[in-house]
Amino acid sequence: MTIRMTTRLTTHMKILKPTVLALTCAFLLAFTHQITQQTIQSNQRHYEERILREMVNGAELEKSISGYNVFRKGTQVGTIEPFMTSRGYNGEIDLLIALSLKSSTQDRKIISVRVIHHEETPGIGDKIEPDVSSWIHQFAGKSARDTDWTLSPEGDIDAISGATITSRAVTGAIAEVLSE
Amino acid sequence: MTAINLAKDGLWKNNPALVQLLGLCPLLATSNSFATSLGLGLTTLAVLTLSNFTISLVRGLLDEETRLPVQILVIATFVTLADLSLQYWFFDMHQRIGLFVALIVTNCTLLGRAEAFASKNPIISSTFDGLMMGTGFLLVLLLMGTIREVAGNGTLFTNLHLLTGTPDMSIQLADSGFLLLALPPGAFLTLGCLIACKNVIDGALR
Repeated sequence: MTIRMTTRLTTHMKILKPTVLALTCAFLLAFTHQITQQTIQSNQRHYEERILREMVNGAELEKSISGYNVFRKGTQVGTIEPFMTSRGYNGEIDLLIALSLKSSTQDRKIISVRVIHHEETPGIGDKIEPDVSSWIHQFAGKSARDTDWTLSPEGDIDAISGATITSRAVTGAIAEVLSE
Repeated sequence: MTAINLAKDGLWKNNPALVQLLGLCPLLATSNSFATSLGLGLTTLAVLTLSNFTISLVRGLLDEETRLPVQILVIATFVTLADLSLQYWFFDMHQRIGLFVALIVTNCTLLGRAEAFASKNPIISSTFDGLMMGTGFLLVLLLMGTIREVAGNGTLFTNLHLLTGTPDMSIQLADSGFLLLALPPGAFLTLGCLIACKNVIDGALR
């Protein structure tokens, strides 16, 4: 009887000790999460805002249903549209595309384009990032009608050497957003 | 075990990356630049030291059956803490290496040291062992990061300012590099060459 009780007690202790440790860990994590949460969220917001603001040169932004509306001195001058394409070399490419508004005299024009996320080959396809190469800046000022949206030499868009598929995917995505 | 032996073990004789060949996933994946190597290496070093310390601290409490789950629990806790800290202080860096920070849990160096050393040894030597093993891992990671960034891209210290908070420190050494080294196969090639170098040196010393 005593022996059985001791065994049961040891088993209980064996369960209890890891449980207490697990609760300690959980408490530690919850506490850290609590105190870091706000700063992390604001870091995330700053990071996104910085990219957005760079795209439109510091104009005011307002969230719209799909993306953002861009204002300069109170009047809307354009929009920022998110777009995703899976035509790249590997995985999906997430883009933000800033466009001017359509007016009676002008078509929609590209203000700027940023790649937010991609899994293209480092060293080759990653030249679509503005930090790596200036390739993405060539789209600024282009509109659907004044540009042949195929890669040079046939079209007007310079391709990244060695990354034709990636270049075509990004170019195609921008052309698609423009024609919408 | 004396401190000198522990240091020799972690840094050279039993180096986690070059001899034990543990933790290769983050080693191969983040060693394409100096800055990402430094970021992940330091995070691993911190987690390894803290987990060794904690596991040694609670080693008397643990039974045979529950020891491994508890060790993983401790390691996972510190990895999550490190992940939160990175997002708190170095958000931009976290955007680059965040994926691999979570993978530190699966870095066998950590569980290996917990099980093979920290669960059997006193707190001070366990902590020191974690520090030395982590430093050994960090040094190999930095060496690989330097080689691959310089030879593969022709640059050095790209994005390092995301960690240090100073102005951009990147150096352009060449217009382009031998791209293969910056790509995933280059990681295997570089590591293989480093292991070969270590074996040659060991052979010459013997």
